[in-house]
Amino acid sequence: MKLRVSFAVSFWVCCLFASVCVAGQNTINHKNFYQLTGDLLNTKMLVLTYDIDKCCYLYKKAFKFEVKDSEAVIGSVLLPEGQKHKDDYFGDVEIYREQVKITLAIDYSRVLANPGSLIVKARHQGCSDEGVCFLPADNVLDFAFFPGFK
Amino acid sequence: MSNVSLRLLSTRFLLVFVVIISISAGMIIANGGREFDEVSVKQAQLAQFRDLDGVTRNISHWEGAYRIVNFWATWCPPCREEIPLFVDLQTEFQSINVTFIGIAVDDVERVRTFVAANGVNYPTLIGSGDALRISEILGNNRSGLPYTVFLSPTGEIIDMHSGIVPEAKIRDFVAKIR
Repeated sequence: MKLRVSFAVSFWVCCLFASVCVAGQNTINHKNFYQLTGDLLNTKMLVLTYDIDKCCYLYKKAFKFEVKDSEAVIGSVLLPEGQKHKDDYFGDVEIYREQVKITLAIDYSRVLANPGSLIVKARHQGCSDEGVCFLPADNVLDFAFFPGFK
Repeated sequence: MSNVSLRLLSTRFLLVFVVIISISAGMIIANGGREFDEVSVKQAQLAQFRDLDGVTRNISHWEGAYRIVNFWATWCPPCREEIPLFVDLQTEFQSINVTFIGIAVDDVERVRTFVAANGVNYPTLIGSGDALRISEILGNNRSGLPYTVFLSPTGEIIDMHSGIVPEAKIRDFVAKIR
C-alpha cells in the first residue's frame, strides 16, 4: 500500500514538473537569450562578449555600435567569421551561435587628462531556431577609466 | 463485472484524472498566473495604427467578427513564410465571421511592397515599437515575431501563438466557432 501511494505521489510530481516545463517554454523573454558583457582592455580596446542561448542565433550584419557622451569614436570593429546561414529575407548571411567576441578599437579626439567614462551602445538582432525573430535590441555599457589607465 | 475489473477501471480513471489535474496545475504555475487583465486587453485593441492608405484604425474597428491578429515584419523570415497561408484562409473563410488583421512592426513602404507582391487580402496596419508593446499586452511574452492572437467578437483572447501558426490550429479555431 505504501509503495502504491509513493508511486502515485511520484507520478503526480513528474506530471506537474513536465507540465511546468512545457508551459514554461512560452514564458521566456528574448532578453534572456542574449547576454552582453564588456571588457575594456585599455583605453583603446574594448571586447564585447555576447553569450547566446542555445535556442537562438545573432545576425553578423545586424550589429551596430556607437559611443555616447564621450570624446571617443569607434575606429574599427573586428567581428569573427560566423556560420553560413541561408535566410529567406537576408539571403546568404553569417550568424553566431553560443558566443561571439567582438573587438572595438577606440579612437580619442584629444589626450585624456581626466577620469572619464566610455559609454557604448551596442545593437544586436537575432532569431530563435523554432521560428521567432526579435526586433533589434540595444544594450548600453558604461566603462569608467582613469588617466593612468592605458 | 468482476471486482478485479472494477478495480482496474477505477485505477485507470484515477490515473487519467491525475494527469489532467497535473497538466492544468502545471500550466497555471508556469504561466505565473498569466490571466489577462481584461481592461488592458480591451485598451490595447483601441491603440491607433495607420493602414496602408494612411487611415487610422484599431483592432476594435473589426469588433463583431472573430479576429486573427498577426503581428509581423518584412525582415522576419518566419513571418513572411506564414502569410501566404493566411491569404488562402482569408479567401476560404470569406463566408464566415472571421477576419485576419496584420499588424506590421515595420516601415510602411516595405510593407506596401510585400503586401502587393503577396496579394494580401486582409487589413494591414503599420506600427513600430508601440505595436510590439500592444502585442505584449495581448500575450506576446517573448516579444518576438510572428505573434498571432485569436480574439472573440467582443475582444476576449481565445488563443494565441508565438512563431509560425500551424494551419491545424487556425482550422481548429474556426471549426469551434462555426
